[in-house]
Amino acid sequence: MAENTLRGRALSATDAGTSPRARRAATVALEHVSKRFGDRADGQLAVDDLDLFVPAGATCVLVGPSGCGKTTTLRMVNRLIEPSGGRILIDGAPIAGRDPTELRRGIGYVIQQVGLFPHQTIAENVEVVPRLLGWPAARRRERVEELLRLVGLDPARHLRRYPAELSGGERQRVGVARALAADPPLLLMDEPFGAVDPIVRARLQEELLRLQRELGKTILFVTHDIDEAIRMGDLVAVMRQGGTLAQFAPPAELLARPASDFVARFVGTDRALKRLTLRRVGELTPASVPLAVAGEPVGAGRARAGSGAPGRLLLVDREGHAVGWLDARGLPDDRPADVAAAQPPTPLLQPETTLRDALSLLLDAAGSPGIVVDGAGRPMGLVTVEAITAALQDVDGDAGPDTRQAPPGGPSDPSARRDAPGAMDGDRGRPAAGTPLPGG
Amino acid sequence: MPAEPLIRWSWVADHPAEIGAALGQHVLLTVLAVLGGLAISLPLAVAAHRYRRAEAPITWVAGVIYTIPSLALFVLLIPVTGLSVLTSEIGLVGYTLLILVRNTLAGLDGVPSDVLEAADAMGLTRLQRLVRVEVPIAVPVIVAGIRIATVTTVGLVTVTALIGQGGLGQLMLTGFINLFPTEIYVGALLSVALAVVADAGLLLLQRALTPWARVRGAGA
Ligand SMILES: Nc1ncnc2c1ncn2[C@@H]1O[C@H](COP(=O)(O)OP(=O)(O)OP(=O)(O)O)[C@@H](O)[C@H]1O
Ligand SMILES: [Mg+2]
Repeated sequence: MAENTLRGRALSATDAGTSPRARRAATVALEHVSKRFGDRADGQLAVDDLDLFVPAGATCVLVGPSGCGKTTTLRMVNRLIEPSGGRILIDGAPIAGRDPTELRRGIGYVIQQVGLFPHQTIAENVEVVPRLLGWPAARRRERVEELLRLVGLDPARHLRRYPAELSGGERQRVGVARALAADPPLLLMDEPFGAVDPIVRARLQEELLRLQRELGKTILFVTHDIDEAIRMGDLVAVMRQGGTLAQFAPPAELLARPASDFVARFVGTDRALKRLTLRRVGELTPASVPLAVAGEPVGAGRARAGSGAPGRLLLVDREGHAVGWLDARGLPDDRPADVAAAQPPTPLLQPETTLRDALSLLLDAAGSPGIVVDGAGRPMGLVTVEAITAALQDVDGDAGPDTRQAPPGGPSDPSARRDAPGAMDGDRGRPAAGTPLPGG
Repeated sequence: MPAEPLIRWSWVADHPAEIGAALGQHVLLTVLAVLGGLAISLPLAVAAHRYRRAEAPITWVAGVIYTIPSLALFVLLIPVTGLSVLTSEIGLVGYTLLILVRNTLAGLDGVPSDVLEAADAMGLTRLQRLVRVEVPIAVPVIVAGIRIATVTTVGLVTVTALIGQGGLGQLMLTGFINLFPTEIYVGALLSVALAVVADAGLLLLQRALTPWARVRGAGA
């Protein structure tokens, strides 16, 4: 029953979008899936009675300690491994009856070691599946260039090079391009960024999120890094030794309400901080900020700020950019607000700054409120440490209104969290309500 | 009476056709042997790669053939196939098998497992994987085997002079019989040169076939 409602939601989302991407995502269901490797004397299951449902367009992250069956689970979905029990359905149809090679050509696959063909150029590597599918050369070529640009590689520079000539990060990008080549509705990714350094990993994660916003694929993503799981997943399946499912929930719910001690330990004692990574400054309602235009009389700023003469005024220039904090106490109303006498306007926060980063910046600034500025550097309001801690309390705001209604172990609307920063982008450049603007 | 020089150049100048024919036959016998060896070894190696149980018997047989002294093998074959090109080729091909099977197998086994996993996951059939991925990646190792087999065969061909073939070996043999050093040295030097040229030529061929194998960039 739970599944029906979820599928209903996924389908209506699909119908609503007329863009081709909406039709290019698949649902994945695992029903009582088990795997026992024949040569294991102790008879231990690698995967034990696993039930998962991933709605179309969602990124589901499988996370858990080493050996808990993540890779095995993933490889059962494209039949590199056959389940010992249960069944797997893609778009509602069991995959057991399908020809494995035909099935695999419709599923993108990305692994940590990438597995590029060393004897083929980047172009040839990317067009492997289109070639198998018999696309004409012109279409393949066009697609290869499109894909390389999509993953941030310059076709002119990389088309004719060999994998050995690329850096690890570049190779991983080619791996992603290759997996996307035939526009599969489902991507399987097994620790795709496990072999690159943390800086490149963060960038690749960011780019995959961006790509995913554009493409809306269904992704099954394996990692043993809980931070990566929280960052990448609309849904997180925490697995434990023996291949059992410990919890299946959106990241915010996982952090706010771990289902067991195991999950709580696995997500870590800093889970409150981790929850802050899921939310962004733009989601808070910033407090209004007393503004004064540099050069204008201090009194004009005081008047704009209204009741109770504020101690500090935020100075802005004629274009509205924040230029400094002015301590206005004791200054007569007719004194011009002088930039030279002001402190630097810090800390500055962007709407897309995560609350965790914001908190860190505020703590660094000894608790001084952060100035939220729009893309052009114009102040939108103030955010305090208290506002951030208050945001932690409204748990259910974390992942949108759906979270609370989600059945135990069931997913909620995958798009809720990811779309939040996007929606906020639309507000950029508009000051928060209640913020007095200089010069009206 | 002046001492006989090692090489009497006037004889060389007078007998270009004879020397050329011997060289031509030497090349032909070598090429036939290596091609024949490849035609047998490649399928055997692929079979041993795919069905691991076949590996031991296949390499065992190739190893046994390799250990038979060459002259003995040719002599043993004479009652069956006579003093013919076939006799020498059976022997010559036989000696290439061990090297070619072993190298081809090593080349196929050396294909990285992540590459195979990716090939399977993208939906290549077993045959497509073999032809488009495994064999091309094994080419440098296979060609290395071909080079050893070729150089070995160039040497062995001279032995077949004793059963009426031999290419440059014929020159050497008649030189020994007539106590004429020029023929011996011309035969010997040309066979060494042939081995060196064939080896270098194959190396160049391998480089042309596998431009990817030489690039060493940022990655492994
Ligand atoms: N081909 C196989 N034959 C036998 N046992 C296997 C095989 N593949 C995996 N296993 C076992 O199944 C269990 C799950 O392995 P799996 O590779 O799925 O773990 P994982 O969660 O991906 O771990 P990691 O994070 O280390 O990659 C392990 O105990 C492993 O030893
Ligand atoms: Mg794994």
